[in-house]
Amino acid sequence: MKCSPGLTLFLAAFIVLGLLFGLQQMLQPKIDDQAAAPTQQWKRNLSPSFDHPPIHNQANTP
Amino acid sequence: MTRPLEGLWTNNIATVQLLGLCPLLAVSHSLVNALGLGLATAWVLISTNVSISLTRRLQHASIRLPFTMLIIAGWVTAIDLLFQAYAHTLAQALGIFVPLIVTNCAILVRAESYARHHRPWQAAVDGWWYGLGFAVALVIVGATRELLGWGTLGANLDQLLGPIATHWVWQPSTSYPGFLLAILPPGAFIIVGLLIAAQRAVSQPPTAELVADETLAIQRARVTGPVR
Repeated sequence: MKCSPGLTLFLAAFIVLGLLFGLQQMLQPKIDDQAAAPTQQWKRNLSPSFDHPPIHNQANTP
Repeated sequence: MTRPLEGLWTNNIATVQLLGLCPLLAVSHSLVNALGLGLATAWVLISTNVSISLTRRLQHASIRLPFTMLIIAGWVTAIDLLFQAYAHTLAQALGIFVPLIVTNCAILVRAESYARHHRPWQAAVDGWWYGLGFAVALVIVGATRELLGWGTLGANLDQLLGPIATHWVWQPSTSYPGFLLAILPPGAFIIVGLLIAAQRAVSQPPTAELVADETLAIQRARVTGPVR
């Protein structure tokens, strides 16, 4: 049996969305844990004489 | 043997095709960011190539483009979720540039020009070498900018590789004052330009004939009036 192009695209989108939904359900607890964890201290400034704002890594900004 | 050479050198996505320059310039200010985005892009390239090759008989001409975009968007969403789950800090640092892998023309080009016409394993090999070429270019730019801009190499690698990489930082000098230009976008342009120039100088050194041809072409240039 051959599907029409539209139906093929619809079925493909349905399958992809289903797989992504499953993946998100599987990973969501881990993502919540990570988001709740305290952010790391800003540790880029290894050089004491280089006083530059941490523009390159917002997640580490205190 | 042509795939590795093409993907890494003669047809490199970043330095020859000049595709994917937006993330290359925007998030390559440190090695960890460049490595993270390079790995994510390579993974999406390989997965998309294999998926497109596996489903190539299902793709009618009228749905080819939306079908390809659907596959790319699916893989990008998956890698974004994985980054948020296992490299949350890095995912926040990369920000919008992980979802924006969808718009990387190189992935669409490889899917359309190669994966659609070849077997899955061939498509996977193609994706691997082209993805590796892009990742290597990103890593070179990221490492150079971090070393020049911050005076460190490999800082915060634990964000991607876990606690084992916490102390993998190389800092040649503790008194290095830093070089702000290198970590700002103009510095990225300059370093990417130097990388492209170096790649071309090695692969196509200018010959006497080429210089003579260019001189001749300039002499014969005509911009106004009819040719008599």
